[in-house]
Amino acid sequence: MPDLDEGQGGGRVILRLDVMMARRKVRGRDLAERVGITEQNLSLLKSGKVKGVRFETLAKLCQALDCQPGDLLEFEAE
Amino acid sequence: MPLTVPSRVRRICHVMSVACGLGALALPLAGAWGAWNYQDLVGSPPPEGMAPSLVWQGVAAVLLSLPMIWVGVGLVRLAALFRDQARGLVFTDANADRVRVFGSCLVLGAVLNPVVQTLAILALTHGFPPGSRLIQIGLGLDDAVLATIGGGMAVLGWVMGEARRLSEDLEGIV
Repeated sequence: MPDLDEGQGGGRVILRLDVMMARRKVRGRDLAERVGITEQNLSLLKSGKVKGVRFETLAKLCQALDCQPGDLLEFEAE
Repeated sequence: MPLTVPSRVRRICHVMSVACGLGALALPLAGAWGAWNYQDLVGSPPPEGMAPSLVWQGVAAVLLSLPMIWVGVGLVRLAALFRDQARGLVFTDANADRVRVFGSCLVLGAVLNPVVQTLAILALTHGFPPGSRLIQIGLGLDDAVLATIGGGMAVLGWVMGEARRLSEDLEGIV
């Protein structure tokens, strides 16, 4: 499961973008275009290989996928 | 990640890199040349009929080139920095380190300069008869300016290191 940040002993935040994209049946290319980021960055987001997500990007993702930030982000304690 | 460098900036970086390399070679030679300019160094001509011996002139030349060698070392690092910047490698650890080293070399050169000038004058007048030998201790404004610039560059190097860290952080944020 892709994790957004490997916290130091406090758990990690997991990005469930791929799950929501599958639910909404949205293709990566379309989502990247609607959010205004490159497909490469979207791929990095999906794989969790990013250090952070801007509120602006998160808001656009929520708008494009018609969901709440909580639907995309999940905290997993160690 | 390499940045896109406009061609004008790339050209300037190449020119600066070459200039720094040439400066690194020329400065120690210019410093050593001071040993053959007795009047400029001491502030007065040698006593009538006396001239420094070639051996002691050589010693003075080596001494006078020492601070400039340090500044030259700093310039070599600066040349490498300009080369990297021309390739778009701006905020890197190596560049921050180069600026820090350049600053430290300037400070060291400024500190060494008055010491080696004193020793060089002593060496030049060593062969003179008693009463004509000189020892001069002088602190010039040039050295103070060089040390201040060096200190500033060292701080700038630290700031560049922080900028590199920030740049890396921002790269990971989408």
